[in-house]
Amino acid sequence: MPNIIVNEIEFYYESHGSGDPLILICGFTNHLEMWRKFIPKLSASFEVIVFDNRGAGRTESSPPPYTIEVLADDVIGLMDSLGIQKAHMAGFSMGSLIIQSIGHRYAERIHKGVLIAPFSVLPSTALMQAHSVAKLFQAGVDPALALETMLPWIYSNDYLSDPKRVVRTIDTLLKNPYPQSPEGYTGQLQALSKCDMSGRLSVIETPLLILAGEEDLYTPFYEAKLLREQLPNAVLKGVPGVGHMLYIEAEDITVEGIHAFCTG
Amino acid sequence: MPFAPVNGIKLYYEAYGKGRPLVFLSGFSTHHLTWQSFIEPLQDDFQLILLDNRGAGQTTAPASPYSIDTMADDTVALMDHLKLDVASMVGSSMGTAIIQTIAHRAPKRIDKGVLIAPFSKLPRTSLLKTMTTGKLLQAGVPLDLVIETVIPWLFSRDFVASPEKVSAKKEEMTKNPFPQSIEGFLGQMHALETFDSSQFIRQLEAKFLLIAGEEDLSTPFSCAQFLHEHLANSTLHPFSRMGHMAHAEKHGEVLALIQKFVKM
Repeated sequence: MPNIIVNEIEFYYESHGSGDPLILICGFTNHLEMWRKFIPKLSASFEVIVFDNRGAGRTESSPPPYTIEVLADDVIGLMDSLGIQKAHMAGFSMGSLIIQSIGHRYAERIHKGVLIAPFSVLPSTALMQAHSVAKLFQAGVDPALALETMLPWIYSNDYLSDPKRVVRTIDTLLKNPYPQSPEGYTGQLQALSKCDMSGRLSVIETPLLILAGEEDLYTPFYEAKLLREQLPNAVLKGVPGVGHMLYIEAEDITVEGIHAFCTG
Repeated sequence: MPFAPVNGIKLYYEAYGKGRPLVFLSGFSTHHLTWQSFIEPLQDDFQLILLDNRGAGQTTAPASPYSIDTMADDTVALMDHLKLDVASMVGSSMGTAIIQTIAHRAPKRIDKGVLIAPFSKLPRTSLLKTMTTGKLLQAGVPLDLVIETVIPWLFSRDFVASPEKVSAKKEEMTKNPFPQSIEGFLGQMHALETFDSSQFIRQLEAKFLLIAGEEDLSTPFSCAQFLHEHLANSTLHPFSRMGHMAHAEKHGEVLALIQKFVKM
């Protein structure tokens, strides 16, 4: 599968199907396997590009710090290398921040965007949580336990009410085939902690669909509502009973939302 | 310092002032010092009773699972010991579960209840968070690090965004003069896990004031809304941009609300 040098970093990406280009952008610590189940459905209508952000998955890490602007420049660089002038984009969590940055600075490169579990500035509560998890790992806490502390932040009551599913989820996280390097974690976390798009939303004219879980504790629903109020060309679809991991908890709503919005 | 022998344990309490009895009930893991700053402004008008729940503070922490019913009975037994027929009550978080239960099991003993950050059933997210906190403590993770994982669940985003406030709170929590024993932690956690007032709240006759943070992550605002919809006689006072700790972060406003509601 292809690697490509963009902005002096070796990026891992995959391209599936044909049609209008649709780029799927991962969140903090994620890699492109998060989109694997989406690819068959979306590649029937689009040329789907999935890739790993700088500092995650099979893409190289550069020394920290990173910024959201650098991560957005990486997407543009990848598009340049692939000869893509303009694309639809869907981004999860930090990926939604990257899309906002592209809509702000490279408006001519984005057609429509889907912001999944989005925010314009990471709430201080989520930031403190991310730092404390890093400290648990550094302190040598059992990785299964350190990961368990994250789950109630990102999954809903319904999802967590099945203890077997909790165990399975931790197991899947432990078996991550492409674990993030410490410098990738630090770099991406610094990018998140320094980015505040809230003052720039009113000039982003990209048509945007906001998909947000109404029970999200990590980036609470107030962030989605603020984006809806401030972005001039955005619609909001709240999903009741769902947390931050919307693309897992409401997989069909997410994939159908992307498909309908970008074909419509 | 006074202890009352109740239900086979020694229950620690403090009494101040004269007037109508006003009983304060602490949340999970915490003790009477939660209410320290409420004593001076209220003791001229009320007989204040502060107590440590079973498993916390200086009250006995038996090594068996507790229930909210038992903690409600402990409180009523303390009222018997002090020869108080009826009292108004103020509680936060788990304390609101105890108050609801007293209103159900001993309706003649309570006329009014102020419920801060209340719930009818603890969300699974909050329960899992509490369980993992217990595991971190049992695994010997340093207390200051465990506290760092807990603070963003409790305090507002404005509070957490202030390094000075976070650092002062960490210091205060680390220097807790009455840290909870692991028996007390597990016993109280069992009580939280098994509490569900949804079947009886419609029958409660006491008057309730519900004080809730709109951005509470531990017991989300929807928990207070559920109670407000089902209680026969309740007023809901929301705090915007507020988390689980309105009584700490908005002390003056909460104090004024308590005074007005209880004197009415």
